[in-house]
Parts: sequence; structure tokens; C-alpha cells
Amino acid sequence: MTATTRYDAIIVGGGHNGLVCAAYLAGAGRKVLLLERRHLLGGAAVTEEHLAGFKYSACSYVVSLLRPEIIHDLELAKHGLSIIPLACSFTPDLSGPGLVRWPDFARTHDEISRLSRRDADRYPEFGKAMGKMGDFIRPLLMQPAPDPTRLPRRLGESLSLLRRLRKLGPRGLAQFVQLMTQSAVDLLDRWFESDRLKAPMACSGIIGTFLGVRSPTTAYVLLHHYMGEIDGAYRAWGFARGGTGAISEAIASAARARGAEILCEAAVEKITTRRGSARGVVLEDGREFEARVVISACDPRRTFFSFVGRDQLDDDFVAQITRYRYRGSSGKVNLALDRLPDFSCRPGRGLHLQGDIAIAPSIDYLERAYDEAKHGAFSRRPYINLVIPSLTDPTVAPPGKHVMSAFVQYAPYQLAEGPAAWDQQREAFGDTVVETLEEYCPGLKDAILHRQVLTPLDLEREYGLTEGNIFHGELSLEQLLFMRPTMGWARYQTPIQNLWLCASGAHPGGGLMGAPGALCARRLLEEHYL
Amino acid sequence: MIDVVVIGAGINGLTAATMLARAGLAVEVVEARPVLGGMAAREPIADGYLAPVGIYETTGVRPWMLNAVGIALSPELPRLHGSGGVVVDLAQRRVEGVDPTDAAAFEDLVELVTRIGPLFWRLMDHPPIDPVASGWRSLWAAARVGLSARRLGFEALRELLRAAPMPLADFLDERFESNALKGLLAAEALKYRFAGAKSPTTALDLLAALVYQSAGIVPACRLLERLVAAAKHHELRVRCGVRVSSVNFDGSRATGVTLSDGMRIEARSVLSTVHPRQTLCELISPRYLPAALRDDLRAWRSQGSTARLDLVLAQPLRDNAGRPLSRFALSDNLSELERAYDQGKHRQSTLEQLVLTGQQFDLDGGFADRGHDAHVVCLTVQHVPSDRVVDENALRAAVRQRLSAIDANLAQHLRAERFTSVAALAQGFALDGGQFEHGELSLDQQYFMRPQIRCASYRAPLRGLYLGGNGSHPGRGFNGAAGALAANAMLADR
Amino acid sequence: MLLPTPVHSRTFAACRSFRFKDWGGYLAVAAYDPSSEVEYYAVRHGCGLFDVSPLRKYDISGPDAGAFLSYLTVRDVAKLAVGRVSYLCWCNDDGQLIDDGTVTRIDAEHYRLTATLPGLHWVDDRASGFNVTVSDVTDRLVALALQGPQARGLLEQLGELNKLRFFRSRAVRLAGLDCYLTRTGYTGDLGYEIWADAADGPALWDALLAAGAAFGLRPAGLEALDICRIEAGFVLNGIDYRSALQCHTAAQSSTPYECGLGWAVDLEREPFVGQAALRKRRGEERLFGVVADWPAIEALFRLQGLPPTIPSAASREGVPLYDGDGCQIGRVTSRTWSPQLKQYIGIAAAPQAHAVPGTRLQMEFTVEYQRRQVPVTVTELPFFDPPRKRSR
Repeated sequence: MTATTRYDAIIVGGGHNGLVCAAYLAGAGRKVLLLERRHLLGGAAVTEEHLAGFKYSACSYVVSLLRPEIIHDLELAKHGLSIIPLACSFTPDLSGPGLVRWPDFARTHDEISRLSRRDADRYPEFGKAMGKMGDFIRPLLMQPAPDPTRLPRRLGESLSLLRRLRKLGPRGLAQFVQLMTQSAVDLLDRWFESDRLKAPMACSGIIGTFLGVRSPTTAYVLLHHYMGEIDGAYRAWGFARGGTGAISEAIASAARARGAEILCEAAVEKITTRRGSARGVVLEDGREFEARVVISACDPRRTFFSFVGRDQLDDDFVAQITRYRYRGSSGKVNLALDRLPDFSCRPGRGLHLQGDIAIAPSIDYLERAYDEAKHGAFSRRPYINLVIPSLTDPTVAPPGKHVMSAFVQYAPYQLAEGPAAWDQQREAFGDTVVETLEEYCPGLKDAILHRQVLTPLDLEREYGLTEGNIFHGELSLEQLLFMRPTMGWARYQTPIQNLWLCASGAHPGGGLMGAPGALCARRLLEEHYL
Repeated sequence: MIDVVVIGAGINGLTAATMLARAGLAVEVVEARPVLGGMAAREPIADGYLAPVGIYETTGVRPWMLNAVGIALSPELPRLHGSGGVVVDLAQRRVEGVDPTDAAAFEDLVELVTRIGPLFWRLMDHPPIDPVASGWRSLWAAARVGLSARRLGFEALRELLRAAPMPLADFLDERFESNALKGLLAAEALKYRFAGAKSPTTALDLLAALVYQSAGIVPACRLLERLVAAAKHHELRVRCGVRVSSVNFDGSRATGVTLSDGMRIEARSVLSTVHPRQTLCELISPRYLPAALRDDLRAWRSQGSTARLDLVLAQPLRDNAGRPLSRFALSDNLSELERAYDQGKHRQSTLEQLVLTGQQFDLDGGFADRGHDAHVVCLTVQHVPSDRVVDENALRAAVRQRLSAIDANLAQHLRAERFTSVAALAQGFALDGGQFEHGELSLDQQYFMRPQIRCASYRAPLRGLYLGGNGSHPGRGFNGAAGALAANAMLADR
Repeated sequence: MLLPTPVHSRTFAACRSFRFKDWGGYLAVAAYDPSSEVEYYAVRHGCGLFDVSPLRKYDISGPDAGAFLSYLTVRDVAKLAVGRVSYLCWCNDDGQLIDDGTVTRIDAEHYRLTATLPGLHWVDDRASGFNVTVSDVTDRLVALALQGPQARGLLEQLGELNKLRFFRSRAVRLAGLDCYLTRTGYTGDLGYEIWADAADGPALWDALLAAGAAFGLRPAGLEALDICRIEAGFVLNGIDYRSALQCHTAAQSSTPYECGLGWAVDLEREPFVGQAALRKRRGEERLFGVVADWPAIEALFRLQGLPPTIPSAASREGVPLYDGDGCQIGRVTSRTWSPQLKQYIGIAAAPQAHAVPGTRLQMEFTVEYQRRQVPVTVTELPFFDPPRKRSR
């Protein structure tokens, strides 16, 4: 192919955000080319088969945050998307029956009553309060971040945010401040007394972060994950039929149907610029493409330092992107199982196995897991979030067999011995996870037919997630909203003219949400950049 | 019938009482302990030697506060010694004993601190703005904060907004190479706090500590002395050794207090400088407060992990150059500091890591009565769990061991020693958990959230009751600012 | 999963209709027979036996128990004499209703509070600062309500009642079992509620049913209870008002005044939760009864060529209430055909100007998917208040 084809937009990276962006732009009649390095689309939202018949949702494994407007706008249901809700949230225990939180009130009330009647009575109120805060935050997820430092240019946006804040009233405002700054445990301590209830709830506050449940600011992450829920029930968390990759496939299909051109095994080597303005890309195999705008669906560091080059950027911006923190903290273990695991606290094949299963027996357990990671080792007794999608979606495993997906925290990218040490510690990490699970479901070890262990280093190498961070950069307060990825460049534009960001390294951040991709496309179109 | 009863004769109580007396009000102060001064009061360590049991230094003493009580003092800019010969000299605005890149980075940091100083003082020297109030007065206050923020310029504002939620460790790692310097700054920033350097929002503590220390340091005893003198000058009536058992109301407003001996003091207003939970939940019948406020107060965090140790030494601790040390912080690196926090967090009873900060006082500091010739060193020891029995002797030995890095012959010079556990501090000063500042200075417990969003203006939700302890804004530095601002609020209401 | 009550084995066996409801997380019988009419008539003529065990029951004891309850609720409970029962409600700081129930002074320092919905945390949180212990005894007790004109005769056969008067209580032995008896109920009729150890539940149930044959006793379910309580003008948490703990907005909540419980609020005393807010909102009486114009309803049916049908159960779905100009001014939260009064009645709420007895308003009424309006007349509550309820 020659460099003669000129596109309106080239999107670098075929993750879900890149695909969403491509679909929106193509839908508006723009000529779009999307380039993906790997042989399959989806980035971290992929389904892979390592043992015949067993389909792993290799990285991202449950979906809740995918914006409904995107599902609707792109007609994803027509393109094959089908999300099956999780049945419940199960926390097994080594002594006692464990805890299952169901979508229905009475059943959950009964479960929590065994731990504390008070907590059971209060539980629905917590859901309501979080729902209220979610209602407040949610609009922020579907609009570019208001930037109070850009007054008076963005005065309108900031004032409307301020007005909404004041409308919360004193107590609501206090709750908002607490949510943004407190630790998940501080937040939950206000509400509940039972450690066994608080521990699994606190987990939502640490997923994907390199923070502990007692670290300030994790309450916000908890809310971020809570927003996938309606009134505290788990109705909106679910599996995509056919694995998470099916979501990417549906978006890709929608993009193609709208006329986007998608190339796989097309690894970008460089984003070419002329006089501070992006003009196209060069692939590793030498092919070149030109476009009016180049949109990167990769994380900021990869985009600016690998594709653009530090020499093209001013020192201050380089310093800001250098400071942007990744620090992946999680690993993934995918198992192909000969038979269904049996939890000793709740034996048998019950509906409880069709939910998400959290190994989080106590707050201290979670905090100790973090402490080990903080000092440069993976947790010897980690927090694990498990799902067995084959129970809900039989298409992902051969009949009678199962796949189990274990999200494991903490696995710090930066080991005390350096990230490269992960190559030696990979199997030990996998063993730790399996042994931890074995305590809760004896016999699991013998049922394993295949095991895929993904360390943060693997996430970086295989999926292009810098430092193995699943969110393209920590979801910490100083890297959110108008500061994501850095203050002054939080509206998808970059100091390089015609180079845009459309992935999780931009507002509103990570998760299988699709919002950055959609928002980037919207800004490009609405403000006539394209 | 008098005008005001002030509960507590600590620095806040004396500041507030003196200001009110100067405004012509009839004031009476009630102090539960037998002596004036609260946590700054000196008590004997050994025969002839005295030192404060609680706080030994105050920072951020501002000229307007001194003027308000009519005293003169000149705060000094500190020299802070760390391990490995690192010295932070705020008077010279530089750091010694590190390589040139770190030295330059430190100058940048001091520059940043200087830039943000005016904004900090705009926030700290005034009552918090009320984010839900309307009316021109609060809008004006908010606008002034906004203007101060704008005046920082883009870069300083970016640094501040970024630093505020950040973990201190990340903030330091971005700037410095020297472990000793990082350890020193972190220990200084997190003194009294129950947080580790890797806890988010702690970077702000360093900035605040540096801003406060840039305003100079005054030994707590000296500030107290002057305050007591000023109080005497205004013939303030003080009742020591008796507790307030309840604050009285007549249904519409405070009418005074009842003391533990049954006596009642009738007053038009009450200003309390004790822990906010004690004021609002123990001194007042639950009936008088909104139920939601009590719920919120129950969640107020004031768990302490800082113990105190005082030493009497025959020979002063000296630095490498042989000069007597004044202030020092012993923490070799951030990871050590973090491990110390972990043990406090998990409430371990055996302590392997300790973070020490301290100050050595020379003889004219008023720590000895007759012609004694020894030196007094006051130390904070972190992180010591409050609700666990920690082996005191082991802890003392560990501290001595740690100090022997400075002076190998410490044991020979040691004349006397006094250890005050977190529990003892909590009990002795009614700290409710042991936190020195009446409540963790975390982001969610500062500014208009301190102690609760509805009483951050120093006015309790009951007419005639004011909160002027460290549980109110700003609550930092032990300098009497909360008391002064509460007194101003009360005067404004008259 | 709904929980069984202590007499589940009996109620489940007796329930031939297989119609159950969720009552605060417990399995409660809606109607034992396909139609609840027999059960209703049993209550009004003989007696009905309701399993009210799902009611939340809190034991409050300690030296400050009376002071605490006076603080928690809108009534000065400390004044209640031992052995007396009081009906009351409690609110949050803003005077918004949380729940209503009865409180019984069992002993000098021992009270029992009943509540409709789960809310232990609210009661317990308020107790800090008082020298009391709050314990949830819901699962430790069985609660059976024996309601109807024959209830007294039946109980006298099983034990010594000593002429228990209205809203009084006493420990008694019934059929050899230790019980606590209160002369209270939710039907507006003569009636008693029997509280006993959960383990004695089935035996008590059996004894009552065995002796009850001669008194026209029938087990009765929630549907019959609903008709009775509407006739008696009693509000139901979750239907006629929404607990402030479950409201998303202030507009969804109600004050006791708005719910017709203003009579229970005792404002002029020591401060209690919500007092200041209630002072400001006093006088906002909004609750009243409405009686629908039956011929107008019949006309609506006739318009469709249908014979008028009487719904057998009460409706818990609110409908709008309009003034003469067709402006929506309020709502009817509960409504039912009253078999006793032979009238279609409802509990309604609207601003006070419309609450004057005799005022004519319009209520939405749907026949065959067509929304129409029928005239209603404002009346005072209750609709049905027989003297036997209070008789000595």
C-alpha cells in the first residue's frame, strides 16, 4: 500500500475505547482507519483460547460500566452483544457459611442478619446513599472534565458543578468530600460493624489501584465500581456472552458496519509529525498512513514517549507525562477446570457460584495483602476476585467443563528485585493463587487442566498496558478529572496538534466503560476538528 | 452571671480567654488539670527538671495571633537534623549533606512552599468558608480564596492540586534521591499523624508543615509563659483542678456549665477547647443536638499513634560538627517509616521500627529550676498502638538504641527519662483516642469539615456554644489559632 | 429468601390459596382461602387470628429507657404507667417519619417497641448517650393478633384476663403457656395481641384454634388485615407514607402531621428527635378519608357495557386526587371496598384546604384500561369505629 490513501482519522490501538471512537467517527461519515498491533481486536477486552474449547476472558472479565448510551448509539445488541448479569456476590469463609449478597433485599437481609442485624437493616440505606452519590458523579463520566483552573473560560461548567454540589446540602456535601478523600474502610466503618460484611464491600475500593483498603481516597474507587450497580444490587454487573472479547467484537462489527477500516497485525512504530502537528503513522513493517488527525487509544506514556518521541514535546509536558503514575498492582490467573469447584463453606452447585466470588475474609487480610505489595512482593495471601463464566455462559467451555477467571491483587509491577523478576516469579505467583483458592475449595488443584498466569509484566508485554496498569494509569485523585493525564490536557487534545487521546488515560478513566472513546469522538465532531 | 466560660486552659483556651477579656468581657476559664497549659504544661521529669508532657513546640504562630493577645515573641526558623548528616535549614532555605541535584530540588521545593504560602495563610488565618451558605459575606470569602489560588499561577496551582491527594512517598520520590532527606521530611511532615508516607493525601502534610515551619517555631513553653502572663495581666479568672461535667441550656441557648463538684457557673456563652466529641457528645445531653450530627461525630477519627519520651542528659546531643543539636528527625528512609506505620496500623505490641522526631532544649528554655546543668530532649515516638500494651522498657531501649546513632555514649549521659504512652496521653488530656490534634488532620477532617460541616464556623448548632479547640479549623501547629478564630466568631456574634 | 415465622408450620399448612407476601423479609400469608372475604367477616363478627410475628420488636431496658424512648419518639413515653401501651411514631431530625408502632411499658425499666420495617440501626444509634440496652427480640417472640368481637370470650376461656382494658397490657397464662397480652390491634375492632416465646408459637396457635371453633375463629391473612385497617383509618408504613430511611428526596417523606399522626406528637416537653422541625410543620394536617360515589363507579362500568365488579382485596397502589377543576391536588394511597360499610373508601392526603369533611373531590378510577375520575367525598377517619373496641 502506498501513502496515497488519506484518512480523516487514524486510531492507534484496537482496544474497546479505540473501537468505540472509530465507530462514532465512522458513523458521522468520517473515513477512519484503526490499527491494532495484535492479531485480535479488543486490547485488554479479549477472549482467548489456550486449550481447545476453553475460552478465557484473558484480562477484563466482567462488565458493568459500559455506558448504556454507547450500547444504544452503536446498536451493539444488533451486533451480537449480550450481557448476562451476575447472580450475586459471594464471599467464602474458612469458618462459617460465608456471605452471599443477592440482588433481592430479603435474601441479602437474611444473609447479613447472621453477621449483624443492625448491618442488615442498614444495608439498603448504604446502597441508596451510594446511588445518590453515583447520580451526582455519573454525569461527569459522560462529559469532558470541568476544569476549574481554566477560569473564566470554562466558568459555566465549573459553576454548574458548584451549583450541583451546593444542591447536595451540607450533609450531602460532607458525604461527597468524604467519598473523594476517605479510605474505603473509613467509609464503611460509618455504616457497618461486621468485618465480614465490610471486607468484601471494601474490595471494590482497591480494584486496579495500588492502594490498600485503609488508604485514603479508596472510597472514591469504591463508588466508581458501585456505579455499575443499581440501588446496591448487582444487577448491572455481568458477563458478555462469549467472553469479554465479544464486546470488542460487537463494537468492531458496529464500526465496520459504519465504514471504518480495521487492520490487525499492524503495529505502529511512530506517529509522524510535521511542525508540531501529527500527520500520520509509520508501521513497524514500513507501511505509512496519513490522516487529518491521529487518535491514540494507547496509554499516555506509550503514546508520547514511544510513538511521538520526547524530542517533539516541551520539557514541562515530558516531565508531566513522566510523573504520570501507572504502577500496575494486579495479575490475572485463568484456569481451565475439569469439574466445578466446590467451596467447603457452601458445598454443591448453587446459584452462589454464578456471581462474583471474593476471597476477602477480613479487612486485615486485605490490608496485609497490600502491605506485602507495598514493600515489593506479591501478596502471599492475596485478594482474589473470581468468576466462573462457564456456569452462566456454556459457550466458553466444553460441556461439563469450566473456566475460572481469577483477578488477583496485589501483584506489584515493581517487585523489590525489579519488574524483570516477574519472569522468575510467575509460576510461584500462580501457585500462591491456586493454593489460596485450594483452602476455600479443596480439590481445585486436581481439577486444573490448564492455567494461564498473567503478571503485570505480561500485561505490559502482551497487551500494551504500561507497567501492567489495567486502567492506563492509576485512578488516584491527582490523576482524575481535569488532571487526567495532566492538568491542562484533560480534554483529549495534546500539545501535538491533531494528536488526540481516546483511551483510559483520559477522563473519565479506566474500566470497560467506553466513555473516553465516545467523548473524544464527540469533541472532535462537535467542535469541528474533524 | 458572667459573659463567657472557657473550657480548657491550654494554648487555645488561654488565647481565646485573653482575647475575650481584652474585648471587655467577663471571662472564666475552667481547667480539669491542676496546672495551666494543657498539653503544653510542664511537669517534673525528675527532681528539678521539667518538660511538657504533650507538646513541646508550636509552629505557624502568626503575628495577628500575638497581637490579638498582646504578646511579643519572635519565632525562629528551624534547623532540622536528619540521619546521615542531612540538615534542612529553613533560615538559609537549603539542605546540607546531599548531592547538588537534591540540593537544587530542595530549593525548588522551598520556592514552591513560598509560592503557596499566601494561599495557605488565606485558608488558615480565617474561618473556613461555608460551601453551602449563601449571602455576600460567604461569597466574598470564597472569592478571596479563589483569587489567592489564581495568584499562584498555573504551575504552582498544578503542583498544589496534584500534591494535595498524593502520597508523600510519591511526592518525595519525584523530587529527591537521598533516602535520608526523604525520611527526614516525611518524619517531620507526619509527626502526630496516624498515616504512612504511602498513604494518599499525605503530600499535603509536608507542604503544610513546611509552610508552618517557614513562619517559625516557638517552644510551646515559651508561648505558654507569655500567654499566662497576658492572662494574668488581664486578671483572667481561672479555676484549675475541676472538670466541667455538663454544659447547660435553657432550651434556646447555653447558660453556663456545671462542674464536677456540683457548682454551676452561669454565663451567656460557653467556649470549649476540648475534644469536639467530648464537648458535643459528653458534656451535652443527646437531646440538644441533631441526631445526624451525633452519628457523624461518632465517625470522627482521632486515633493516635504518637507516644512521648523525655530525656534528661548530662551532655547535650551534638551533630557531626560538634554543635548541640536542636531539632532532629530520625528516619533513615521511607520504607522504614512505612513499616513503622504498618506496625501501628496492625496494632502490633512488639515494635521493630520507630520514627523519632525531637527537640533538644538548652538550659534557658525553662526546663530546669535551680542551677541545673543538664539538657532536656523531648521526643515523639511513632507509631505506637494506643490500645495495645506495649512493653515500655523495650520501647525505651529501642529509642535509646536509635539515639545512639547520634550519641554513642547516650547511656552514660542519661540522668532521667519519662515515657508517656498514647493511652496515658489520651487519658491525661481527654484526647479520645490519643490524637494530639483532637482529630486526624486528614483531608476529610479539615477546613469546613472540621469537626463537622455544620459547626466548622466555631459555632456549635446550639446558640451560645463555641468550639475553639484543635478539633476546629485549622487544628494544626498547636499555636492557638483555633481558639483565636473561635473568640473572633463569638465577638462577631455579639 | 423469605424467612419463616415461628408459626410457619401452622400458617403454611392452613394456607390453601398459596398466596403469600413478603412482610419485612418474612413469609406472611396474604389469604388462607382464595378469597379473603371469609377472613374479613370472621374479624368483624367472630374473631380472626393473624400471625403478626414479622413486626419488628425491640426490647429497651435500663435506667434511661423511658427517657430514651421519649427522646426517640414523638411521645413522652416516660409518663406511661407500667402496664400501659401507647401508639406512637418516630422521625428524623427533619421531622420526617421513619416508622410507627406501639410501645408497652412492661416494667419500670423495661419497654417493648414494635416497628413495621427493619430499622434496628436507627433505634440503636440514637441510644448512645443513654444508659439503655436495645435488643432486637423479633426472632425470639411469636406475635399473634386475635381480633374481633368474640376475641375476649375466647381468651377468657384460655386464661384469666382480669378485664384487660383498651391499650393496657399484662402477663397472663394462656392454655398453660406464659404469654404477654396487650389489648391492641390493627383492625379497629375489639382485639388483643399475644406475645410469647417463639418456641411456644405452634402450641399457642393450636390452643387458640382448638378453643376458637366456638367463637367463629379463623386464621386471617394480610388481605383481610388491609381491609380492616383501612376501615379503621390506620396508616401503613410503605403504603400511606414512606420511611425517611427509604426516601431519595425530601418530597417523598412525610411528617406525622401529614400522616394524620399529629395527635400523637407531644411537642411541649424536653427536646426529642425532630422536635424543632415538627414545631415548624405543625398544622400541616393532610390525611383524611374519602368515600367514593358508588353510582358513578357503576356508571363507568356501564359505559363499557360491563357489570360493576367489586375488587376483593384492598389496593395498595396510589391514585391521583383532583379538585373540581381537574387539577391534581393529592393522592389516595390505600383504598378498598368496605364490606361492612358497603362503600368504596380510601385513605387520602392533600393540602388542608381540601381536607374539610364534605368537600367533593375527584379520584382517578380505571375501568378496562380507561382512566376516568369518580367523585369522592371527604370524610373524617376512621370509617369504622365500633364502641366494643374500647369497651371495658
